[in-house]
Amino acid sequence: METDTQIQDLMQALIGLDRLYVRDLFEKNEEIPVFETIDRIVVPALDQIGERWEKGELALSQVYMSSILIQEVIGSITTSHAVTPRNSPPIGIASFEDHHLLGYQILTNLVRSAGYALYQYKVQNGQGLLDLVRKDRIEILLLSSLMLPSALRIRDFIFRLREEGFTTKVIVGGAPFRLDPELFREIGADYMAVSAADVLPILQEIGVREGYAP
Amino acid sequence: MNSLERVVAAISHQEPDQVPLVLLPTLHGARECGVSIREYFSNPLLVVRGQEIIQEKYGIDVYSSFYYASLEIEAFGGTTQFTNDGPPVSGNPVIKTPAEIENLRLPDVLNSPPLEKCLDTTNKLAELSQGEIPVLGVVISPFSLPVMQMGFGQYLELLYRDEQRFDRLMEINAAFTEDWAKALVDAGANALVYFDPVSSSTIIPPDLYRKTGYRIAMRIIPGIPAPVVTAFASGRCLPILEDVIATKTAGVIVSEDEDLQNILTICRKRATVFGNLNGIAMRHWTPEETREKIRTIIRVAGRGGGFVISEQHGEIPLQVPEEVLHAIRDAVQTYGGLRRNHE
Repeated sequence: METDTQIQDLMQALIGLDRLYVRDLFEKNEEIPVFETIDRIVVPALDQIGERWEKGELALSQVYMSSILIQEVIGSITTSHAVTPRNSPPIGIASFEDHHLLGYQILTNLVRSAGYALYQYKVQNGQGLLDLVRKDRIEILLLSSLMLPSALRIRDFIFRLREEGFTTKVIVGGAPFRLDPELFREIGADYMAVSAADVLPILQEIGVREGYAP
Repeated sequence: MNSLERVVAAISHQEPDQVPLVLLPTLHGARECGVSIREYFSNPLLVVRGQEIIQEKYGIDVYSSFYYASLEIEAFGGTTQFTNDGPPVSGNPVIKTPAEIENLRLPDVLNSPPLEKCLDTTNKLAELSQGEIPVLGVVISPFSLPVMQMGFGQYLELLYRDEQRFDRLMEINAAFTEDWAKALVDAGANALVYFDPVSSSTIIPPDLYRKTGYRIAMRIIPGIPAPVVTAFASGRCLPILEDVIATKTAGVIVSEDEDLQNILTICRKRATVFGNLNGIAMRHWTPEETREKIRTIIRVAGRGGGFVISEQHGEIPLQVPEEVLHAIRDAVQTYGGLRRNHE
């Protein structure tokens, strides 16, 4: 019950941009490991924000500003407490040919707030991404795309990825995928995230399956 | 009725002879002319020819003089990136840090080569129409323009955290939009789309809209000397629909995500509803599915005027097959006739 209340309170604080409350959540519970607070309270709160956005109860700007807030607070805490990132396969994130970067920024903030390290590639096309996946041995790739033609070109990228023998799991998201829920399958992606928070349970599932302790 | 009479009847909330069809397969014009998208938009004559072909081919009740969203950014000194298969997109932001807003200068819309092309196209389409086909121009709202001027994330942070610079940016953008809208109407546009996705409830909460996008629309829309249709790029608008109507917009383009009947009830005799086809999903439609969708929409919304069939986002993707666009045209002609009994 107390955890549920804390989750609700954190969600309201993030939506209301209450930085003090968010910092207090960690500072008042200093004896509790940071990842425990993240898993028990932060991730469920972010998940609820994502659900409320999908239902139309919250706006994208609220999701974006709350993602900035949580990342700023957790970032400063993990830095000051020298907390190492969560154990996971190498994760890369890119905006596929989309210079707007909003989806990319929200996703980066959320995934880092959940304790994962990320290779942040910003805007990439297929060739650039292939080179980076090869170089950094990326096993999970998060791709955000705004425009339908770019989303369709992810198919060519995934085809070349598989041709080279990479088993990288590709998770896609963005407006074209929301408007056409079968698009992710059409292009050969492994998963689709309607909201950024949808990525977190997918990362956990893949990590566990690949033998990474949570 | 000709197309102009049909559209005027619909937006006057009178029943036209047939439900008007307003689709914007803008990029298909390049394909029809056999040129690249970059070449197409470099020449007003090609855009006019493209519009002429697609209007006739797909039974569309307007000509559109819209080029691409970042045309207005070019007037501010920005750039546009062209591809072979999709809409041109804006290049790097013209405002790299919020501090640069202090030095932002108002473009002269009548001496801007990119905008001159669009005005020339508008003028030529007006001549071509001979008063029988309405010419639709498009302006990006001052409130949504900064997404391209400075990047989406930076703009949202400005909106939430820097009221002074936000206000300054809106002053410049509002003056620009007022000048641009007037220039389009003077060039021959019969109506304008006011493209304002940031105002939608998908992007910002209603209470923030009422302090920002709504106030800006209240300044701009009543001052435009032509009917205005407000567009939210498939974003939600039900939570703010009463406010949108209060801006004196003649119409609103709505999303398939929201209940059409509910929207029609609120808008009845107050604003014309445009919608609500999904251009992304359209890629997969069979002719049979297309017919059924059009038939259903017309059954729900077609009678009594006050409704126009259109796509929810604005532009039809180039990936939508011709057969779907033909099927839409045929279904509108089959089921959209309002002066005879139909199912």
